[in-house]
Amino acid sequence: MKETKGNCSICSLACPLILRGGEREPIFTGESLFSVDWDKEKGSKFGGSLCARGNAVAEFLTHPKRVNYPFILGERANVAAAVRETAKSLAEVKKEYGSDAIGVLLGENLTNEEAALALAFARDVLGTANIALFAPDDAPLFRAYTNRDFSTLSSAGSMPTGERVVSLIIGDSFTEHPCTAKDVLPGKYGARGSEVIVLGPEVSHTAWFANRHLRCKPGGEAAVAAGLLKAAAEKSGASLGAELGKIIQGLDWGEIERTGGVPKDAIAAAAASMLGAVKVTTYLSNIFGRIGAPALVFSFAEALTHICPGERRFVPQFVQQNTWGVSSVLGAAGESACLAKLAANQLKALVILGLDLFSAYPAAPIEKAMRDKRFTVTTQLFWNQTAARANVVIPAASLMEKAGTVSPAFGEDLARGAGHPAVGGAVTDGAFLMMLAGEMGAELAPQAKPTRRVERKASADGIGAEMKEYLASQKQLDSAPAVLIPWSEAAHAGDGSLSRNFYWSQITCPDAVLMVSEETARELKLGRGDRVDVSTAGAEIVLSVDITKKLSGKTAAATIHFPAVRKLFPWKLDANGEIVLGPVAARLHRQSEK
Amino acid sequence: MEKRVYINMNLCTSCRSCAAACAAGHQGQGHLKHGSIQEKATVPLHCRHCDEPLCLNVCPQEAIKKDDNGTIVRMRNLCIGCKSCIMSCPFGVMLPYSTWHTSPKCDLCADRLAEGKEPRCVATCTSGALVFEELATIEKKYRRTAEGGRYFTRFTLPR
Repeated sequence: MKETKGNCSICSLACPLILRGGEREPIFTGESLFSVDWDKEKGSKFGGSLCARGNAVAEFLTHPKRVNYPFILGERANVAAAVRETAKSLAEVKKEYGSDAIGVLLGENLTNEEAALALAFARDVLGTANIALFAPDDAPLFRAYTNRDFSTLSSAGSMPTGERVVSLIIGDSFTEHPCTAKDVLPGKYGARGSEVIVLGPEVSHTAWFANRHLRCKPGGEAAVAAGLLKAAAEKSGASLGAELGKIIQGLDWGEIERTGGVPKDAIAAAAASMLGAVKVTTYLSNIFGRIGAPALVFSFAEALTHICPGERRFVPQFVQQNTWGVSSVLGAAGESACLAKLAANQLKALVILGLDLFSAYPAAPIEKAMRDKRFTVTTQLFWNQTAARANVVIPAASLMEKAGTVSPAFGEDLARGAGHPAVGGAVTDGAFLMMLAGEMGAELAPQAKPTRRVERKASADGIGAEMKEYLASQKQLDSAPAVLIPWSEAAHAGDGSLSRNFYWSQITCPDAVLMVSEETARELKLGRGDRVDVSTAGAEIVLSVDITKKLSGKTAAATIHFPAVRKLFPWKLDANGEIVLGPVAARLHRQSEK
Repeated sequence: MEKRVYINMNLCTSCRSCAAACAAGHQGQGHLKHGSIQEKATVPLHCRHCDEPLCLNVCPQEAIKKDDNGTIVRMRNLCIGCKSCIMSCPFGVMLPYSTWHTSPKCDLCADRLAEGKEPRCVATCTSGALVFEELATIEKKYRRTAEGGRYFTRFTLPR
């Protein structure tokens, strides 16, 4: 059997794999001709193997629901006709409304070279600055990375002795990136006194392994992270720099305890444990509004890690594989403006590449904008709501079928070899853009080495205002009857636009579920499987209930990989045009009672 | 003594990658189920390949047999779907649901064993909780070590 070595295309860990099969063209019967196996010789980032999602990547190549042909207004067409129609319609919109009315929206299913090609296409061929990456799960981490650099902080205190290893995990890494366990657990069991500290509101799979679980209020992560930094800086005498130091010193413990929901003693003990370890690793995993103020948490956690005197490592983990690569190629060019224009319905034509817009942002302004468009062309792997609303649909190729570089982590480039030539009638995004540019009478050169423009600013500008806004928003949650947080499932990835089609996810997590604590279930007289109306400022939907001990009090959680649930978490653009997400106030009603 | 699958309860993170790999390798019909511990953690459970298997004894069609290395295998072409094996299994690991008329049954990934590889669930375990070893090796290698030796559980009983 033919074996091809490659990398998993799902998350930012990009585990090496071996793809077996594919001597001949796949037959779309639903039964996979391919199988995948962990490439043990190459070894993955954390020494882990393929997770539930990694085992499904072969399905990309043989999935019966793959889009195999181009469609024009829902009718099957050929690629040449689809490209012709797209070129004609874009030219019309450009003539009528100007170049500025065209937007190019990118998702993570692109290589760095394709992202550079899209940037050149937008600027040189369309003449628009409206090009943006749409990655709501990872975007706040990128923003924190580029806007504030705390990796240069110096440690204080004496070098610890012994063998103690401490891992601080913010979020639910073991669910979102299961092979993190292979990096964390040997440390936990390796030496006496080693610890796993988990910061999060729920008893997640990760918290099950915690020696110290800093069980904060929903969205209280930023306050507790600030508390950890404050306690560590006070104990070690480390300097945090003028602005950050002022903000951290200005926070009083009463406010930290109130907002975070964790007592001072527990925070101080955890900080002391980190300071006394010979090796400290901080993992940060965020999924769509799981963490209150993820950009703040990123900055505080980075600063906290770097003032520890032992060997230290800060590991932010991304939900999607190449959002960082695409983001750094674009250099955040026009991102805020593009988002604001899309929400304000000022874009009359959209070119959507490698993105299911409805899964990423299932919000009312986006839906309205999609409805009112003059023209939309999109490359899609599966037939979804974005494809259904587009004028032209091009069958996309997955990352498994593309060669090029991707950047799974900050500053990291990974050369991907195409695991398999594009199947069926699939067209890579790069090839589509070249054809489209040719049809529009322009020449687009392939981008072999895309320019990356990422410079970290060593300042804490704006962190004070952000902290103030965060504290105010957390106060509002205190008076809410219920607080809704996102819940992630190991079978799904990110917005679920791809993973919802996988066989295994359809068995283990086919529908969205609302998880409530035992207290809430008693109060509302709920039983397992009951239907509940969930209403937030974003939407109102009906979900089936599961009662769990993993949550307490008025905290409820809903599986985030479905557009209906993502709608419950309204997003807004802040002063910088960036998306603000977080836990939301919700009302729960048993359906029969309403 | 033949190799069997064991689980280190200290390392299982409930990611269910083993079950996904099992399903992916058996035409979508997984042979693993998961048990919940106090609703906090979930660990994989599958056929223990018993020394004296009750499922083999009750099968009216003799569709279940013990092969040369002690693996209990079910022959799909003989199975009539009577579910006697499901009712008799003391560990509840013969799965009652089925996409075909037969009960899914762990075969220790016979195709991979023939190639000298470990079963899919072990190969894919993201945290290293599942191991495919002989009991003696397990005892020698893991017991009383810092890596949670006393929590090592017999995922599959030896012959």
